[in-house]
Amino acid sequence: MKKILKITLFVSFMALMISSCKPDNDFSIGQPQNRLMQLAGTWKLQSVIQIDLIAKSNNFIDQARPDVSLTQLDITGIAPFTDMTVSFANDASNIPSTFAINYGAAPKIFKLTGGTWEVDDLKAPGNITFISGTETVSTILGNVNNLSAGMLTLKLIKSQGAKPVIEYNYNFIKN
Amino acid sequence: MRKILILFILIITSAVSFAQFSTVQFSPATFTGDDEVTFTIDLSGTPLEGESDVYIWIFANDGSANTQYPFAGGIATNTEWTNSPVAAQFTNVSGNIWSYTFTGTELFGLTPGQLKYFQFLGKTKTGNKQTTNSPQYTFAPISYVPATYRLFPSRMNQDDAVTIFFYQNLSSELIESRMTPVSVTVTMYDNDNNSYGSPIEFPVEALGGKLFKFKSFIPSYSWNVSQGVILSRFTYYVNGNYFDVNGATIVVSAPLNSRTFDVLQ
Repeated sequence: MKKILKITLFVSFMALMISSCKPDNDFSIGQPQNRLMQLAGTWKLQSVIQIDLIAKSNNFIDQARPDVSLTQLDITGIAPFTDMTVSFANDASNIPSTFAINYGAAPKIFKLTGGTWEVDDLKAPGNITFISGTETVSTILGNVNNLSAGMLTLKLIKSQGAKPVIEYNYNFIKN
Repeated sequence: MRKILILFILIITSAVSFAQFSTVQFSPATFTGDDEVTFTIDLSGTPLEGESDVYIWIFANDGSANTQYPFAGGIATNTEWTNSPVAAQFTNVSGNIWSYTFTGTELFGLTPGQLKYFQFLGKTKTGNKQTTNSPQYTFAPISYVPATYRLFPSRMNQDDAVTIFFYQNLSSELIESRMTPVSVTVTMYDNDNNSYGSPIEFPVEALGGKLFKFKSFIPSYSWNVSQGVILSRFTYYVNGNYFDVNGATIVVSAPLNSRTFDVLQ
């Protein structure tokens, strides 16, 4: 008898719990990240990583020296890269407008010093293009989720014909 | 006497072969088996000088004892010696300068990993005139192949950071294998093959186990290359300390190496 009572109470309790569950119709996911606002401002170059895309795609490994990477190198220290700053400005409608690059003594990695800049998608930019007259430099925006934390990665790919062969990752922090 | 005669003939044949192919240039300078590559050759001074139509007979891995690299003739080109097809035709650039474009994997029906080197000869359509066989031209490997020197990255132009690695334990050259490396001397050359600026010495960094790397450099930056100047290649040699017969320390240099820049966008 006692056992039947316990089971009945348990089943009733479960029925009550299940019937009190209601679907949550609140599908809001918060405000979208405004990447263009996050990009606006001045960024200072912190590090440069060089990647051999042929070695990487073919998974080159030196079995005798696995501690020595055959695919990438940190080349930050070979020149005063950290002298360099990049500034992005948007217009009143938050559309990309002008950029300015101060290299200091750093190599002119983007060749250009000022002009206009564009993105491929205003809401979810994946590429940033620097434009000065007829000259353009295309970069890939890496790690967009880090923008809100004041970190920016611009990737530059060099090709041999149609074949990508070298990638440079330029890592900046917000000034 | 017979052996001397055979040796003499071999030496002369090699010299003639080298001379016939000394003008060959590749674009890109470094290529794997699945890259499209174009080479040019000046046939002046060869049996094909002045010909209006030149054809190729091309083959890969000839003489390789490694079964990973099987012999293969050009599928579309080496069809009939006395009647070469259109696919084997060189393109005339100007005068006696001809070019030919191919992709190794397509031409030989092998995978990139099976292509070690190729050779070719030039011929008339009927084969009544021909050059000698070319030297071996190497395909860049698609797996890592240890060598005494490794340049990083594998493709580069004058605006790229260049790092020279020296695997001294792989050297079979007496001085090179025994010296204590100190620096590498690098010399740049312009498109006219004239040296550009002054040679620069970059210091060594020991990585242990007879592996060394030298301070990386960006040619256009380190040599302060003027706008519009194109560098074609650079040479480098390692400098180090060694001992003379009396045990005194002397400075020696390893053999010279050369690297042609790639055309990159």
